[in-house]
Amino acid sequence: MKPRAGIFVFPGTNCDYDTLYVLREVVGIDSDFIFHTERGWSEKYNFVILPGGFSYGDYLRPGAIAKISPVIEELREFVEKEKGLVLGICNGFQVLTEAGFLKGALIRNDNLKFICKNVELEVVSNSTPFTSLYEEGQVVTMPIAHSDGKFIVPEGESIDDLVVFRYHGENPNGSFEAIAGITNEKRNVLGLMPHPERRSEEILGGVDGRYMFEAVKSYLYGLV
Amino acid sequence: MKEFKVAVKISLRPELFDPEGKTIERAINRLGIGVQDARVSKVVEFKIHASNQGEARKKVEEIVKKFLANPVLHTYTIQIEE
Repeated sequence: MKPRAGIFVFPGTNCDYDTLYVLREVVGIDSDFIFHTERGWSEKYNFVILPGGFSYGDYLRPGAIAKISPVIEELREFVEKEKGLVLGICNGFQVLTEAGFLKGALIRNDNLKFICKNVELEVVSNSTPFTSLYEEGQVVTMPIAHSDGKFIVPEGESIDDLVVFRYHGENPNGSFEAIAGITNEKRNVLGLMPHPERRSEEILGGVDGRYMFEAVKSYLYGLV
Repeated sequence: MKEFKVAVKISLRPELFDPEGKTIERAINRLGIGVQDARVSKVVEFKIHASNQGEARKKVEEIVKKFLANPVLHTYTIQIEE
């Protein structure tokens, strides 16, 4: 199937154009924006990205208001019926946990700071459509840029099989078990705090993030 | 239909570290007055119309569960006055 990507745009989203540029110009996937009030989009796309930013100004808490928007309502059926893949980056990850697509929650960094820097990540699992082009145990570099990236899970909840990325070396925000990205049980939804779209061209320091989009492209074409 | 005044207090679960509360606690201690276990909560106030207190509470519970609080993160209390 030809990949066709839709990028959700909420008021306050700010990584929408970066993501569109990387998908269209770098990776070569047909891509468009999906405005938060749109309906009927799920018939047109097989790859949905919730990009970074500050949806609704992070009012109430990050992702909380976005989770009750029309696009998220339709996303439930999209995921349930496995109509395609869903990738949440940074604020997108926060929206996905708030809406219950992914386990756990993201709260204020332990040091209370907005952290904006490159970090090293360990690829914990490559058996997802998003990470098939990485080796397990491979260490990759991607930038983070967030205030609320400390990942937590309720005590007793097991998510060992769902961890996809961990911070390697330093744990920048105090996340439980240094978790930086997780998937759902069906493995068609991935959320992560780092920004793969900001690490997709050599001129910006490297292409470690690009492999994630390339993996999705190959998966949707049925190549892996 | 009567109008009720509602205040929902949303607090981080007690087992979760609250760095903002900790920072405020340290600052208060700089005043020379010792305090412990400072925590920061959020209060959302609004008005709602319902035929009685019970119905108002039911509506508010729904709002809190669906939206205002995240069960992974929060506990909450609801105050309703006519």
